[in-house]
Amino acid sequence: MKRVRLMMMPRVVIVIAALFSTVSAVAPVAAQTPRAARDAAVLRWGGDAEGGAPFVEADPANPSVVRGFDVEIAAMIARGLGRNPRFVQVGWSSILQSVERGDFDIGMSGLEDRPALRARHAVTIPYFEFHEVLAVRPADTSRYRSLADLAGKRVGTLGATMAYDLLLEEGRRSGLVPVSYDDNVHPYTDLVAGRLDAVLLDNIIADRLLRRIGGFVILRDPVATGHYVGVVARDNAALRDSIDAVLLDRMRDGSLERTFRAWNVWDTAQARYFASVLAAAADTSLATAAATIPAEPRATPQQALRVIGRYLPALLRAAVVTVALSILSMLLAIAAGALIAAGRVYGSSITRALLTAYVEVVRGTPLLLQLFVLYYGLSGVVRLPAFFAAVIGLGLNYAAYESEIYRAALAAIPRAQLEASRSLGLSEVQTLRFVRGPQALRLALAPMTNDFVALLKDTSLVSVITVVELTKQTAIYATNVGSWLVPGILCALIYLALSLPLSRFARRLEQRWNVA
Amino acid sequence: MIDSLVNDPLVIDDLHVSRQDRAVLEGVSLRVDPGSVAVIMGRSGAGKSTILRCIAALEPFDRGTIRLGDVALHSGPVPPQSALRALRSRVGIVFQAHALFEHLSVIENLMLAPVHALGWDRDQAFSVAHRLLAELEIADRADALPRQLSGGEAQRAAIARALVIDPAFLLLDEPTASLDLARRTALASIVRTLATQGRGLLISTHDADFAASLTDRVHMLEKGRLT
Repeated sequence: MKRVRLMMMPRVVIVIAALFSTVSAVAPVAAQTPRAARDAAVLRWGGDAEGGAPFVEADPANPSVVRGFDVEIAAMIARGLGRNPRFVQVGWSSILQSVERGDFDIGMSGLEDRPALRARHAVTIPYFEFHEVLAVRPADTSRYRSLADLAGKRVGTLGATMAYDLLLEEGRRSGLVPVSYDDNVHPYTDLVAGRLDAVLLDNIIADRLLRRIGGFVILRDPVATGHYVGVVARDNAALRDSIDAVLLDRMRDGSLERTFRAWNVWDTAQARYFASVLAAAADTSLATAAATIPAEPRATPQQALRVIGRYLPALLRAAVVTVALSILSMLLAIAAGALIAAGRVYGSSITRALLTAYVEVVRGTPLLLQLFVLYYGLSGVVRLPAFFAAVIGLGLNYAAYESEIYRAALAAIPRAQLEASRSLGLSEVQTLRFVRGPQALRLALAPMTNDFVALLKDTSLVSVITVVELTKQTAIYATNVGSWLVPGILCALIYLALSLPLSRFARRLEQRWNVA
Repeated sequence: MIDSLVNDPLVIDDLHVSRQDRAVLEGVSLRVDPGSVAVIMGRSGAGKSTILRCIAALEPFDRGTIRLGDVALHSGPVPPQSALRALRSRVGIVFQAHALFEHLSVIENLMLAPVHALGWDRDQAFSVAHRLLAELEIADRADALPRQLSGGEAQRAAIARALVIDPAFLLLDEPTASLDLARRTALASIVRTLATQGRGLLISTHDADFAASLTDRVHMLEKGRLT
């Protein structure tokens, strides 16, 4: 769950780090074993180094290797199996899909134990117990003591997690507003900045962010308790059983405790949890020790349909957000684009130079970066609500593209049309409004429709600034059901249902304007 | 129909124009009286259209003056639209390619200037526009778009559009270019009618028969001068 996006750059560093770390981990073995034996002697484990400490992070002292308690546990498991660990970098939300595809043998990156997970994958015994804890601003400690106190308030967390599900549930009950983030740093910075009233996340994340950024208070009464597990492909239960045996041994011999102590996440509750797991293992079989959470049976087609029925309303609601975002952003893009185009055609040389610079900067930098800067970068100066920031970000970005369309369309109107208008006594503004503009609009219509369809899809980027739109909702759904197939098809159908009528409408309008 | 006509002549005095260091007009002088028809003839590229465009304040000129009563145009850049109100209300121009507004119907082409430049209400603009179309016998094409018109219809629509704001002088640039013989005859009769209403007409053409059918005052433009 623990994806920390500190800034844009480290991502690149991490990918490179992942590449290098696999090389360094494998090198000694590679030197002395034949290829087949070498592959068998490697335990590939997948995790997301963007998740950060204490799970998996690029080592600040040597960013070409990863470190964290998940890294150490993976190494313990590998050694216990007589293999060498090899780290495979994978986006956190893709770990479960990747392990089933066979990209690596085990996924470990603060993965939460849930019934849905056990239904679809071979899951190890939980190796760590965590608590979902609330964080609030110091001034609010007397007001907010539990989720129930936060009715109608904005509470942030990482999307597609147990905490997010808890917030959704509470939202239905009390009107609490869940705010979904793609990383676990920005919920806390937004809490400190006043954009959120509380954050619900795992206690070890909360503790780490408290040390790093401070400015908030962690409420000690846990809202819920959960466990981290490793995930193995469903048809590889034998490997899972071997891994469980190693994990139990490391619990018994104190290696796991030493690792957790080294990462400052050991406490008495953890000791109690380990004791109960070991007691259960001694008492009964390994399987019952592992099954602290009962597995859900595999879904029948009828159940799958019911699941679709359950998620469809949420997808449709998210589609409404996507449509609202698209329409408002496009209106802003058209208005601003028209002004920019007019400025570039009619303005003074300074105006033209400034507007040209704007267009080039906006078109030459990623929309994702612009959204980050607008929402997080400027939050010290102006604190825009997420939806508003999304509309502004998308609108001003697309305005640059629209302005180029309008500029070309304005330039395409024959000079004789403008002279005819002037000779009749219309002012320059009236000529633009009644003669040049309307004719240019007809030329611009087809490229504008293209842009609107593109914008409709680009709205999916705004989930990085906490707006849950159609694609984000689909990702949450996909994580919950453990497959992208059905959610992906549903999502695609909704996008098509939105964009196809639009293209038809534009074609009709063009035909009407082109009556011969 | 014509109530704002003035008795001032249109006087062009010593007009010089050069484009890209090439002298186009080298001292053109001409007088057009209200109620008269003046024709400028000359080869293509001789500068006939340039004279008309200078009078309509669509092109700058290097020397000379153009006067119409108390309105005067001088050498130098074309004045801004806001300084040309008086000229625009007194001089209309019909372009060779008609330049009807492609996105508007014929009647809307006629109503645009009265409603937006002169501030008439739409009913008044509509009735004047309709009467003009009827006089020019294209009332049945009022709702057609320019691209649906024949060459002759488009030209009459363009004449009607220039006349709707009731200018004292009308400039016609190569009006016979897209007309067959029957249409040329009909156009000549329209021009004569406009002149008898008291309007001054200045026409550029390279069609000698058409020129002769209108007036005996035909000016030849050669080497930048009128003869």
